[in-house]
Amino acid sequence: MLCENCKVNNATTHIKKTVNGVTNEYFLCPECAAKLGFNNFNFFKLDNFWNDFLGEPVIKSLKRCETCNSSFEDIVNNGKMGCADCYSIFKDEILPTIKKIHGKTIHTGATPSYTIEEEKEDNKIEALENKLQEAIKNEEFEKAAEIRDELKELRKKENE
Amino acid sequence: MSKWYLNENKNSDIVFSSRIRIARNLKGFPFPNKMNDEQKYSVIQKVSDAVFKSELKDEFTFIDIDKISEVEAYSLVERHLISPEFASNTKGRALILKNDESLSIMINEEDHLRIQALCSGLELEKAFEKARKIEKIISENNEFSFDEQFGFLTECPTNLGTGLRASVMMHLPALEKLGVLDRIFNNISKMGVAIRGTFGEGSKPKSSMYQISNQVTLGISENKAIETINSITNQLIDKEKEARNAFDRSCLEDDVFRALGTLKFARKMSTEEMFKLISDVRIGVSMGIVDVPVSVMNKILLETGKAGICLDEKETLESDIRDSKRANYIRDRLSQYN
Repeated sequence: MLCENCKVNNATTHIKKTVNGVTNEYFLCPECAAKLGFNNFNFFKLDNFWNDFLGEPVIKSLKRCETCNSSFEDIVNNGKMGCADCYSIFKDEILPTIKKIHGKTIHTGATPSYTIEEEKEDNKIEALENKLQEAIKNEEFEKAAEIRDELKELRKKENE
Repeated sequence: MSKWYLNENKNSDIVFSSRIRIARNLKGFPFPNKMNDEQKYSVIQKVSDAVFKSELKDEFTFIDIDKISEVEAYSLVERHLISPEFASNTKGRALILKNDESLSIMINEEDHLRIQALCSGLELEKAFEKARKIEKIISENNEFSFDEQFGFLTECPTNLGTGLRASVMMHLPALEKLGVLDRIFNNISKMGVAIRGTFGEGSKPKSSMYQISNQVTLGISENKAIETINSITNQLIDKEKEARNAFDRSCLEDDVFRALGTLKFARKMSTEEMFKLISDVRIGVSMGIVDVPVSVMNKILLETGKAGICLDEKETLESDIRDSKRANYIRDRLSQYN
């Protein structure tokens, strides 16, 4: 089905709008839906209840997550994402809700690679620094130079 | 190994416990609400393999939550080791519990993994260290769902990012009595911090215990979240102490001794009454009116709930018999204190 508005793109968004008991339905592409102001999805059921009540549009996207087969409507109804991939597939839809919950949309805490790899790397750098000091103290300059090069290499990798 | 709540740490008189909870999901599986039984058991297997093949294996016990009795399950809720929801819907779920009960891993609750570490007193950093240690052990053989922008991915977007909830359980009877808690909590909520009842979301406070935790998990680092809760907790400790000193000392002493007297001599004790009286004695301990170890009160509070008091019985007891048994238990524990 083509978008009712631009008549060019495929319609992936089904919008049902009830105002004063009169229901209108639209089939739109995501771009037109956004242009016409139908992209402010509300995540929580309670919000939807109020939207229904106040005559705001109820949006049914025809899109489904390929991994877990959730539609955005399922997610809204459950208040739960179906799987990790839902976050990328419904990113545009969920982003306003995330912003509303957290005030921010970019993670700043630990990462899995840090918890395993980088931490090991950090320990490695510390161990090498100790070795370097020891080598200098013992006047083993050739060994110290080797350690210094290795440290340089590690630090370079860390800054990438 | 002695249970975590028998230790006394910094501010243990007002801060009952510090808790860190980390939510994680394994890559390659849908979230629990979309999982079939086979996938659930597969996640349980992967996580328990990671723990029980590690060097820490002797410190943990595997509990098939579906196979234990209802009483045992609810006694775990009363000791804050699992959520009420986890105990009521047990299929495809499991618990890995550290023997001193300071660490628990709920498998297939709202997320694949809910790692929880508990410490007595205000010790969030220590609890975080414990939770992270086991998280790392599990991550050595399992990859977690992670997104560059959104951080650790969780079933509910409210836990997205660090997946970390830092919370303290505080005893705030004086502020509660003054009726100023609502106003204080209102101000705190503007800082992204939530206040809940004793057993989490939607529960009522028991024994004047309130749970204070960070609400935001995305765009805030683990350390920053812990720092915020620490600073609010310290301010609340000062306010609670101030409020306690505002009450007439002789009235307060009367309340404390009456409570201790009832606990020491009563022949029947309901949980509601126990919660109220323990709260009064706690104030007395904190203000130096009576000398009962905090650990003894913690023990009574966590071990004599409706389920806990039936643990050594073959069947669930009638409420009347429970009340007698509870009174006996408390009398035994308190007989030596005046």
